Order: sequence, then structure tokens, then C-alpha cells
Amino acid sequence: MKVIGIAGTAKNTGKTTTTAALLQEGYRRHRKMAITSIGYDGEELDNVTGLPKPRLWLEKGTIVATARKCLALSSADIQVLEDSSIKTALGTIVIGKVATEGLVVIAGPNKAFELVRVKKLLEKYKPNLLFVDGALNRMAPMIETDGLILATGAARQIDPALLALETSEISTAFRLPLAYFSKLGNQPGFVYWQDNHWHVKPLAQNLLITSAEGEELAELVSSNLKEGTKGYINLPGLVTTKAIDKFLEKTADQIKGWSIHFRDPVSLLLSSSPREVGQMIEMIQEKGLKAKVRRKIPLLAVTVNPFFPEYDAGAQLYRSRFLPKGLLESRMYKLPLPVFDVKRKGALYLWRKSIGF
Amino acid sequence: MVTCLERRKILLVPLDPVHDIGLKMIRRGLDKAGHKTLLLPPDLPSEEIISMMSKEQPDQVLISRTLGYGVAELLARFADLADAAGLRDKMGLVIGGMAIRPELAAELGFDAGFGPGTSVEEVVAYVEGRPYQRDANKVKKTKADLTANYTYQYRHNAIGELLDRIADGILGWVQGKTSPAIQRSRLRDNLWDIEQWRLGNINKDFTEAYSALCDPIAEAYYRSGEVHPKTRQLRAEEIERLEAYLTDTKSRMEPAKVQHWEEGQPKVFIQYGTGCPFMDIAHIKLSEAWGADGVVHFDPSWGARTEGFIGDFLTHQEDGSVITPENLSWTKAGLEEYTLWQVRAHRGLNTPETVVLAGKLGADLTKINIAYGSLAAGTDPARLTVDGVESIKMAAKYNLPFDVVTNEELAGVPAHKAFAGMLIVAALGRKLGGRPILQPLFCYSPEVMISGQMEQNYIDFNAAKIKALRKIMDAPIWPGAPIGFLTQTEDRVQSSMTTSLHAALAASLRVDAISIASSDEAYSGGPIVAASRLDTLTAVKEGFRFFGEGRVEATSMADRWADEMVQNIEKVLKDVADAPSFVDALYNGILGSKEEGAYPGRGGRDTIQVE
Amino acid sequence: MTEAMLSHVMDALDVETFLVCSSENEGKDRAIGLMRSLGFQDVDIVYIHYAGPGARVRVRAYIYRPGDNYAWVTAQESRQ
Repeated sequence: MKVIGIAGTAKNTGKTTTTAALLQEGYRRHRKMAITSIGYDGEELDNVTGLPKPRLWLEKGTIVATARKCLALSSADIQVLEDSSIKTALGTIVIGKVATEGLVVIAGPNKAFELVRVKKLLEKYKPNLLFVDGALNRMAPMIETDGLILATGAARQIDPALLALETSEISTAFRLPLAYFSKLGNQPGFVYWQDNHWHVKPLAQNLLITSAEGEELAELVSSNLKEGTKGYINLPGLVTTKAIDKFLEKTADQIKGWSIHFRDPVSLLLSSSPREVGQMIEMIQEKGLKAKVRRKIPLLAVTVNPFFPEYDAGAQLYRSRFLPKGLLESRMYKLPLPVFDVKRKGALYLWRKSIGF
Repeated sequence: MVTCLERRKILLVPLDPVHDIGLKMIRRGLDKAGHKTLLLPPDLPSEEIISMMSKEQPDQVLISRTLGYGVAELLARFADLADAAGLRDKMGLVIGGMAIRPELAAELGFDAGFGPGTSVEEVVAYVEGRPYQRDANKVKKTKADLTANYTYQYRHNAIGELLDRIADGILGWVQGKTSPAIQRSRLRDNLWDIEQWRLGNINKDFTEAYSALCDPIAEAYYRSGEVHPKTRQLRAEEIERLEAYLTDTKSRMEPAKVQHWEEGQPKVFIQYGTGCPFMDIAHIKLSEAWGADGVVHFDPSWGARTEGFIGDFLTHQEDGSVITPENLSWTKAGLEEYTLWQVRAHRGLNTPETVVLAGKLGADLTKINIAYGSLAAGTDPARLTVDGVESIKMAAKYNLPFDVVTNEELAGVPAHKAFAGMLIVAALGRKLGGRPILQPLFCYSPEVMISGQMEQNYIDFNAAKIKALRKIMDAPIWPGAPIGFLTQTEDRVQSSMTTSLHAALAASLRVDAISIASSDEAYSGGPIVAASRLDTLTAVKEGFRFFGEGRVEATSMADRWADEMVQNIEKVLKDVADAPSFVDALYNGILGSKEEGAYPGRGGRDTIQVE
Repeated sequence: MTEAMLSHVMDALDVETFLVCSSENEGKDRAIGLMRSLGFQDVDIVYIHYAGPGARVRVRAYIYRPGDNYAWVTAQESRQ
């Protein structure tokens, strides 16, 4: 079972359109598919903007993991196979099988560790593919996928140049090399270095958020450090660029050649805006350090959506607007990954570019 | 209080730029339940909150944030940060605030979402991992018995003796007399089987005998199916739509209350009678949804002047909804089980039969007043006396408490005379095993306009009325109808305000029920509209909330006027007792003269027959 | 025509009514939709209370917001 996540950079960036296209092509290819989501999506009306949203059309045999309350909202008949007992705001997550085709509301687990459990449950039914539809700009649980399709577009950033820049920074984070190092269990939140023998020091907290915490880490590393030692820092799951900046400000000269291991590209991108994350990676490299990730998730494709909701202050409502066709992707052709508008290129193209065969 | 093992640690996070009151209320509730709470200052950056969560390791994090543009993304990112920080399997994340719904909470990556209207208890239950019984906290409503706590003992012996003498006199006078209305009512009582009628089985014996006792208009209905020229039969598809509407609406009904102090504040009745039973039902449903305790059926005035009822599901474009078995039956079907339903019999040529119909169709209350009906509503005093006694007997038989309304005050009859008439009917009720409810008017009546008792305020004279009645009889009191009558203008704010204040006064006087108008009361250009009904229900609710167990205080004038009123009532009753008969007293103006605006009615004159 | 009619409205037009609907959101949509259908653009819900049978609403259309060009002034100017 290959797990494909479809994450959005914001609401209305076309996650559901992308997921629907993947399903459509998968059905054409007679693939056995499963679907779940990060939390809730596929509602008729966008919760925030009040504009209509498409819902997912599922054919017979599709395996779903969705909250119990969504069953009644779906026009497809879903046969419940088991209850995961994972609680959500919309009832427990159940595993079901589509008995008769129709529209389905999917609300899956909204935490990473719950997605792991759902994956395990779904595996029993042997689907070829599991799609994890994102909700809003939720990213964190996507670390549990095998590959990610990123939906972005004018709803995230209306200026094509800025959107291209941001997308480029995001793809940089996803292209960071994998850290191959397994010394001493290799735990997050620990610093390891070697002079005559290996030293291990834990961080006080399992996160690195404030500049004070960056300073603490600097003290932890720089005290008793001999000249020319080699080492690496296994950063915890959540860091901020602010804390890293502070840390490097104090220690960069002493730890040249060390590796800084981020947990994964997704949590790295949570540390700040993509722009700042990009600058931080650049700065790490400039200072002669290596930025790596302990877990790599391939970014398979970026889909761009020219749609954006425009707020009409006078009428106090959102109106549908579109950037000219092709404007967004034309700025991103240099990126080393496929970037396209699903509505223009179609489901087959999306499948070929992101899943392949 | 929870034990130390059950104690939870809760981090309360106002993500809004300002502290919100909801979070503080929740904090108070949690503290009271024995939990440990920590309230963060408002407007901290997400990262700092995550840092606090990691340091404090609470069991639950309660975040409050009002939704707006970009806020959803902010909250989703917050959930992501918590996830990435490895905190999501260690603590619960809950979001609350305006526009928050469970679906949204799920989408944003939270475990639960609480929107507006969430009770503190609900949040405490969630934190403690208990299932929250919304039902347990939902407003519970049961049908009130307005007469339950009353003995009907006289508190004023002299007046009591007079009332008994007059009542005995009336019972003697009606002995051996009957009327077409009484005969119809007995037919309806004996031969009209409601279950058979519901099955569509027409009893020919009943129809034949009944139509012979009717006016030509009603007779035509039974002979050829013609309905009253002012009415139209609702079509089958209209009835189907009504059924669909009712099913749909009833499924969404939640009991609501107007009272703030449940036991002490009066039950609130609204009056309906748009002419169309369908619209009536729609109005009843929204009145119920806004907390009305009871509804009063208003029939058109011509219905009271016609001998006999017709049938069918009838609509009509004038004030008042026609009484037919079908109309009443549909209305009953529309009511929630906790709503009190009054069908008025009080004034016309169908009084006893209305009581029978009301009883058979499941009404809770009726309305009877011989003095008002014959002095200010156009019915012959002799006829209504005969019919009235029969009505009271039927009300006792069908176990319907009835109010005795004193609307003759609106014609100009002084309160003490109207009260004398009311007390006589109440005394009859007492003798015949009925349960009367006194209904003095809370109104700006012609009497006070002329004599000036309300020049200073609206409180004293209304309070005097209640005090006077309480000095005479231990009986339930239900001011009406509607309260504040003639103080209302067409302005909805003024109208709602005066209704609310009169309701507060009624509550201060600890009466049992009130009838309220809509804020359209003073408008006479067309039917009452739905929104206006809700205006006064909302206003009264606010008045009740404001006063609670507190009271409106009358000046010393109230006691003085109450004493005067009692003395005057006694005088009037003496005159009635000394008159050749109660009916003579009515004709001769003892209970309200022509100069005072009371005119003995002519409807049904000379129709009394010897049994 | 309508504009001329509205020019003497000082600031806004409120519609107070009861809308039959099955949720508060439906009530909001219907209220806003109603005002739009009447040709008003700058509309907002001032008040809504939903219970079983529907929603009591007060929905508003601003004709002028402070700082706008008020036709009831210009009209008077042109009259003088």
C-alpha cells in the first residue's frame, strides 16, 4: 500500500480537486484504492468563506476511513467494516467499504499518530493506494505518507512571483538529504559529538522554540567542546527559525562541518514561513554546516490553482476570482518537480507525473 | 468536587487579542469542579503557547478564538505545531468560540469544538470525559396546572355569602330552561364520537338532529356542504403540505422558557387567530420555540353570533380562526405536548358546545363569562345565563379550568362592576365543581382614563385589582387579555416595552399566568406577523430576567384602591342579590350600565325554551 | 427610480422578519439572499436568532456609510 498525501498550503488551493482527479484516474485503471483525510474536508460549503466546495465521488469497492457522523451525510452506501475507536469531533473513525457509489464526506484522523493507526487498519484490506486528503493548511500528519502532492495557488498567494519563490523554498526543504547516522539510538532532542569518544547530551525540552531555548542549546554544545570535533544535532520535532538563528549565532564557528538534523521536511516547514525556512537552510550552509532530515518524504508534484476568493468588504462576502490560466505555472517551470494546474492538464497527466505507472 | 485522581489540569488559551468572557466562565466552572486551571494572557504567539503546553503538560488545552478571515489557517497551523511538537498524543486540544462547529474543529485538527450556546457544564463534562447529557440540561417543560394550589375559599365572608346567594338564585332561575345551544351541546356530548369522526364516519342521526338546531348558514353546510361565505376549504394538497411542515418543524423543536424564576413567574399565553389554521399553527410553533407556555384560540366574532358550528378545515381572511372540529383538531396536532391550549367559549351563541368540542378535542382550558358576554359581546343576558350555567357544567365534566374574563372594562364598565360579574361566574363555577380562574384586565381602561387612576403610573391600579381579588377569594389569577391593553402603540419598541413592564408587574404580584399581545397589538391594518410575536416574548423574557424574584413596588394608593374596590364590589353584589334575578340585574345595568358603555346584547333573544 | 427612492434614507434599510428555515446558517443565507435579490449589495445580518420553526432576523442594507456622498444632502443642495 502506497500512501499519497495531498496537502494544501491554504484553503481553496484545490486539494479536493486533485484528490478527485487521482480517484478518477485510479478507477479508470481499476486500482484498488482507499481514502482518508486529515480531519474534515469535502463539505458542501467552505466553512470560512461560504463558497461551495466539491465533494468526493467514490465508486463501489473503495475503502474509506471516516468519522461515523459523516456516513449519514454521504449519498454513497458505506458498509462499515470496523470501528477504529479513534475519537474525533465527528464521532469515531470507522473503516468502511463503498457498497454503492456516490458522494462521500471524508473526515479522517487529525493527528499524526492516529494516521499511523488508521494506516495499519487499512492495510488489512490490501488497497494498492491510500490517499490522504489534507484539510485546510494542515501538514503535520502528512509525515506519515510515502509521498506528497502539494496543492497551492492564488488562494495562498496572489502574486505569482512570490508564490513561485515560496514554492521553491518548500521544494528545497523536501530535497534536503537524508541523514544516515544511527549512533546510540539516534534520538531526537539530543546532541552527539565525537572527540576521543562519543558524547551525548539531551536538550532540556523536546522542542526548540524560543530564542532562550536556542541559547540553552548553544551553551549545552559549546561548553567543553574541543577543537575540531565532529558531531551532529538531532533537533526535536518542533523548532523555530528564531531559535536556530540564536543557536548558530553563538556556536557556528565551533561546530563547522557538523550536521543539523531536522526531523522531516514537513515539521521543518512548520518552523516558520517557507521564506524564512529557506533563508535558514541557506544560512546553515553558508556557515559550513549541513542541513539534513532524519526522514524524507518525496514531494511528488505541485498542483497550482488559479482560483482565489476575494473578500468584498462592502457586501461582506467572498467572491470567486481566477488568475489568468497558466500564469502561476509559468513562473515555476524551473523547479525540479512537476508543477501544473490539474484542471488544465487532466487526471491522466496528474497520475503519470505523481504516481507514474 | 473531583478527587485528586480525577483532577485534570487545563490550560486555557485566549487566542483572541482580548480575553473573552466565555473562557473565564469556563475557568470558573472548572475551578469549582475541582480542576486545576491555568489561564494564559491573550494574544500570545502560537509558538509560545506550544512551549507552555510542553512545559505544563496539561490534560486538556482549551483555546478560544473567534473565527475570521485567515483564522482557520492560523488554528490549523497551531494544531500542526502541537502535532510536530509531539504533544498531540499527550493532551487534548479543544477549540471554542463564535462560529465554531464540530466539523470545523475536525477540519482544524482539534479534538472537539464548542460553539456559541455551549454551557459551562458541557465543557466540564467533556474535560472529565463524561458524556454530556444535553437532555439533562435542556429546558424541561411540563404542562402547568394553573388551579392546582387554590382552595376557592372565600376570604371575605360577607361577599362570600352574597356570591353564594346570587349563584343559588341563578341555578334556580335556569332550572327547567334550555336553548338551542344547550341542545346542540348535549348532542355533541352524547352522539358525536370523536374516534368515529376521525375515521371519517358520519353519524347521520347526529347530523340530522344537529342541523335542525342551527342557523341557515350552518344548516346549509350539513344539507349541501356549503361553507360559510367568508371561508374557504383548505385543499387536500394544502393539508398535505401542512402535515409535511409540521413533521419537519416538530422534529426541530426544543422546549424554551420565558421565565427566569421558574416557580414564581407566571405562565405566558399568546393569542392566535390569523384566520387561517395553517398560519395559526406556524405562529404557534414559533411562539412555542420562543418560550410561550400556552396559546389561546381566537375565533371570529361572527362565529359567536351564528347558531351552530359547521365542519371542515376552513381558512378565512378576517380576524379570528373559525371553530370547526377539523380546525381545532389540526391545531391540537400542531401543539407540543407541554403547551397549554385554551379554546374560548365565553361570549356567544355556541358557548356550551364550544366547551364540549374543546373538551373532546383535547383543549386544556376554556373561557366563560356570562356578564361580559351579555353586556359587551352582544349576547342576550337571559340566553347567556342559561347557556353559561350549562357551559360551566360541561367544563367541569371535561375537566377544563376556565378563566372568567372581564373585557367589559374595555367598554367603560368600572373594574369593580366587572369584577362583581366575574366573581358571580366564579361562584357558579365553585358550586358546579368547576375550576374558575380570575382574569382581571391589566389595561389602560376607559374608567381610568376618565377617573385618572393611571395618571401617575400604570402600577397602582393594576396592583389594586389583584390585591382586591385576593381579599375576596383564594383563586388563581391570570391577568389579560392581553396585559397592557391600550397602553400599546404601533411602535414595536414601545409596544414590546410596555408589555414587558406589565409582565414584570404581573410577576411581582405573583399571579399564575398572563396573556401577552404581539408588538402589532395597536396596528389594525392587517394580521399580526410572526416577527412581532417574538418581539414581546423576547421582551417579557428580558423583563423576567431583570426582576427575577425582585418586585415592582406599588405606592400606598394600591392598597387604598384595593380596599375601595372591595367595598364597591360588595355594594354591587348586594344590589344584584336584591334584584329580582341575576338576569334582571344584567338588564338593569347593575353590573354595567349603558352610560358606562355596557349594552345588554340581543343575540339569541327569545330563544330560551322550556325543557 | 429605486435610487431616487433610497436617496432620502439617512443611512441604512433594515428588514425585520421571520424566515422559515431549518438552521441558523440557512437563515443567514436566506436573509442575505433576500437583500441581494432586492438589489442591495452592502448587506449584513444585524441579528439572528434561530429556533425550531425558523429564524428571527434583522438584516440590513447600508445605503450610505459614514463618509459616503449622501444623496439626501446633495438633493437638498440642488433644491436650493
